[in-house]
Amino acid sequence: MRVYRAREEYVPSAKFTTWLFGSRQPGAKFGAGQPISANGNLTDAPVTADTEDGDEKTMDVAEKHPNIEQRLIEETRKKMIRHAIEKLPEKQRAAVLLHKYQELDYGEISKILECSESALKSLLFRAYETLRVELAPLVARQAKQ
Amino acid sequence: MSCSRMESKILGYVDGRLKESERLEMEKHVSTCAACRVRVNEFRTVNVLLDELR
Repeated sequence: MRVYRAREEYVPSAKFTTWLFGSRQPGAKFGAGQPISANGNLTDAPVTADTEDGDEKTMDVAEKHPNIEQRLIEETRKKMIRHAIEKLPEKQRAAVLLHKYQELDYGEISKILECSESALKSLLFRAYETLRVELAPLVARQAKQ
Repeated sequence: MSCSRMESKILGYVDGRLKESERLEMEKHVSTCAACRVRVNEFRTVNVLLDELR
C-alpha cells in the first residue's frame, strides 16, 4: 500500500529496484505506526479514540498489518532472485541449480554438463559474478544488515 | 595463493566445500587481500539470497 501510494515519487530514470529497496526503507516516510483510516487509506494524522475516562488514545492500526508489506517485499525479492537465475546463460544456470539446489558435487555436475571440473568452477564463478551484479540492490541491502 | 587462482576456490570456500588445507590457504589470502575479502563477502551474500528460494 505504501509503495503504491508513493508511486508518484518514482522517477522512471531511476532503477525501480533501487527505489523500492534503497530509499524506500520501511517507515522512512510512511512510519510503521502510520494509521490507516476506516476506509483502508493511510492518513496523515494518527487515529485517535476517546476512552471511557475521556482521554484520547492513539490507535496504531497500521502496526497490526505489518505482514502485508513484509510479504510484498519478500515476494518481490524472490521474484528478482528467480528472474536473475533465469537470465543466466543456459549452462551457467544449470550449474547453479545443480550446485546450489541439488547439492551435487563438482564431479557429478561436470559429468552432467560434460565439462572439466576446472571449467565448471569457472562457469560457477561467472554465474555468481553475474548474479552479484544483477542482485546488487539486494546484496548492498543485505550487507548493511 | 594469487587472486586469479582464488576464482576457482571462492565458491567452495563460501559454501564450505573446500578441503581443510585449501580453506586455510584461502583464509591466508583473504586476510591480506582486501579486494578478495570484498568478493568473498559479496559471494556469501549471493549465496544467502539464493537460499531464499529453497
